[in-house]
Amino acid sequence: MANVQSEFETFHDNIKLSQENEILRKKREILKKNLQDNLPEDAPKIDKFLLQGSYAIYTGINPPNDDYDIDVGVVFDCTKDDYKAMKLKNMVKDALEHTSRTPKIKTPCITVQYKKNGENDYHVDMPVYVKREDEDGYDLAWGKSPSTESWEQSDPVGLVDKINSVSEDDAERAQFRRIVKYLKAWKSKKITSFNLPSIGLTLGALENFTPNIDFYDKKPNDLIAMRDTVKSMLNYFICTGQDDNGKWLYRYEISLPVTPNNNVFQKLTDKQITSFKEKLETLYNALDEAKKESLPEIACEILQKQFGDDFPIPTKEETAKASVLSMNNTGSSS
Amino acid sequence: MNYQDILNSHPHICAVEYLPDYKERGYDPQTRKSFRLHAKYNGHDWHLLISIAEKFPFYLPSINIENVENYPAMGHVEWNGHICYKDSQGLAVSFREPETVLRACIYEALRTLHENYSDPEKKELQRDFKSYWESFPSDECKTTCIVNPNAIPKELIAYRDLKNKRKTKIPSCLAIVESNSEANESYHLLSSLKDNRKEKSIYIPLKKAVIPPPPKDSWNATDILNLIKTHSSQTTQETAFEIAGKQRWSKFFTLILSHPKPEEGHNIWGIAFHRKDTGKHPLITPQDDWKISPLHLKHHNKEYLLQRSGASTNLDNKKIAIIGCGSVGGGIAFQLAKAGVGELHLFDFDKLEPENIYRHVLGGLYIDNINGGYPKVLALKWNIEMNIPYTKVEAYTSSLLELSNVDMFSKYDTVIVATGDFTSELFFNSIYKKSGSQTPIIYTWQDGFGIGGHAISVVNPNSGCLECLYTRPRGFEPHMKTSFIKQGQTISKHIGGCAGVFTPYSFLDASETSLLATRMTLEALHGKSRNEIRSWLGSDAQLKNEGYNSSEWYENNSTKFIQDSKKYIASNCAVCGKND
Repeated sequence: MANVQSEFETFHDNIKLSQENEILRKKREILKKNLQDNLPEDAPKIDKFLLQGSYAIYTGINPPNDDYDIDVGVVFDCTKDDYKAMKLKNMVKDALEHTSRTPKIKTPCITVQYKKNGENDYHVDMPVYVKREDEDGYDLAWGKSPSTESWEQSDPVGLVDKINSVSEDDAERAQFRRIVKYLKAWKSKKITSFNLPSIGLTLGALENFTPNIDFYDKKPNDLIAMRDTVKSMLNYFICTGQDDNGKWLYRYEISLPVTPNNNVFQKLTDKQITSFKEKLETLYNALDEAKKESLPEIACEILQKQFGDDFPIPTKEETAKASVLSMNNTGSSS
Repeated sequence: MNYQDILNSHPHICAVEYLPDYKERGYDPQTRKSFRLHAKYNGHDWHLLISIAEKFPFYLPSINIENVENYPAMGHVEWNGHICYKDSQGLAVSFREPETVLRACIYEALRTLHENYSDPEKKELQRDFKSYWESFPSDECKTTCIVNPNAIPKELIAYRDLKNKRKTKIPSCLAIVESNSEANESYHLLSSLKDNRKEKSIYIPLKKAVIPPPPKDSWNATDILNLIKTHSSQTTQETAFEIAGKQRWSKFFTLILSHPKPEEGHNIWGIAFHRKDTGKHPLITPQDDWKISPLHLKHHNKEYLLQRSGASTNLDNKKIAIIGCGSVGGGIAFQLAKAGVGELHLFDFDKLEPENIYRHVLGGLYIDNINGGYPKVLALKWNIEMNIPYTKVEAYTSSLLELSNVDMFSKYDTVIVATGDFTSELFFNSIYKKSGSQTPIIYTWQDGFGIGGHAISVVNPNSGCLECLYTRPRGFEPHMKTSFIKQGQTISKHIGGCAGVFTPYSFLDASETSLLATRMTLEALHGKSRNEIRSWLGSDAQLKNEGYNSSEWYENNSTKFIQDSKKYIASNCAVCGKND
């Protein structure tokens, strides 16, 4: 079997969020300050901001259309009895109004789209929370209009904690985060006809994570870990019946591991989930085939078909040079 | 400290008399204090002489029965009355309390006397008959004896010191051996006898316990003839007398006798007959002017040596192959020979070189000015067979690749592989696993610079083999995962001390590694083999000093020893893996 760990690591370097840290942090800070400055006097006080989303669980990748996504929640120091959901959401929307940006109210949050030279640059999703007396998470302001508004119990901090404690072992945790990023990159290439929620991939990987770290030298093998994780995920698709053409249909239920414990694939149709399953099977077969392949350049060609050009293929010169590793003076003797 | 007061206050002592002029045999009376004691113990009166050394209690007092001629022979009392009341081997005494120790000595002496005197069967005497017999006065020197006791009388070869190299008053007997004793011909005690004149002696097995003459008494030739007549069968006597009749006239004859011990085994003891002028064999013409004395036998027969020296008699019929006889394999050969393994087959094509002197167990003995170094296997054979009488060694110069066939496994009880040629070892391992043979294979090697060593035992049919050590989840890599040296460094030979230049303490490192493998081999020979790797961890100082790095595996282990029978097993091993 060819060793393609270094190619996986290059792939990882290519897809991981490059604008991470400084720039996005600054943008987040500006936004938080704007909100604080512009809220009306009758608004409740801001209790805190919550870091959410892939940034909080270290699984962010570069977005395909360069439209970066910042998830930051705002928690108000009040309860659902003090305000209606839409009232608070509107206060936030108005406070974020600015010449260069138009906040929109979406069902779970307020979205602010930033542009640069007419192109989408990044957008901020800001869910609005209020405190709960039982301190079991928060209540999330839900809905787009007074007719659909409600308060929904939600535990964004618990979710982040849960995902970040996938393993006690640093190397395993890092491997998990890479695999989630590989899956997200794969999704952006392979599942384009409908919106497969990334949180579903993250939670699927979380539940089925099969780490592969060498016991002796602690070196990771992402190819095998990903193959085994995907294999395990595939076991959870449940057949629900047939479509009009007699084709078997499947569902994959992944519940949020914290309140409100809803199925994150709820909105997808059986047909979409069946398509997801088929593509995941193709991915599994490619990973397995790559693992069995002894020449690294061939293994990488197989993987590139799944992951796109971000996955590198070593030249024959490179692999020939690497072949010297097949002979090794161990420093041992009898 | 006033010994007299302490002795006087002893509850078993009735009277104490100081003897300023008493001479204890072999000691300067100036340095000792001696007393006559009258003791009463369990209703019996004992008249004892005690002699206390200046260095008491680091030396225990010598205690004797004064009137020993009034007693029969009994255990732990020598012919001259000396009482063996405490074995000094392994003894620790409360040396800051000499008064207590002196009291304890008296008590132990009386208890020993009482127990042996009151035993009607005199079992202790029979358990160690030889000690009493050899306490008889004698001018004899020690005699090497290789006689395996059995029920048949036989002619023995007696080697006489005719040139009197020992400078003794009377001619003595260097060795008495049976002609097919199983001992190696080159065993040095035998081979050194070649230049001495061969005479004849006789082994006569007696059927029942012998009651020796009482202290201060002795036997004459007639007594001995009568003893043989009353203690052995008619056939035994006829054979013995026939052998004796063939012997020519001499001033000196010897006999080796045996009789059963109470529980098991035999007392083997010897008699020397001396006379001023020549005569016929005393068993043929038992004249009473033969002077009778005990032979001081040093037994080298198999049963005695293996049992008395911690080796194992049940390894005696085992046959082991050692492939690779460098510093690790050579050490194993010696350790197994000393453990009592009966047959070793050694394989190596290397010759001894000067750089082996401080690393190989053979040192420089087999490197000479004319021939240079001898093949390691030959030198090991010579040395072991000269050194250790009952281990047979065969020496071969075949390589591991040549030996990689199924026959190798069926011929031996265990095969040890210590070549340092890891590629060939992997091939050998794959042949073995395929063969399904149940012969345990032990592979052993060491990491350079004294950082540690390893041994793995591999036995079919379970998973866990040599190739597992080279198999990562990511596949085969030509570097063992248990290595203490980090992978991917170019280790140059001449610095590493792996094949070239002297590494400090390399003999210690090799010995430590040999020990791992030898113990695993012994477990295998006792049927306790399982798939397992063991490693010892040394210091990484020299490795770092040479500019190399130790492995994560080394860094993550804070112990000095690793034993693992699970984690090293690779499920994707190409040889023994169950799945991919």
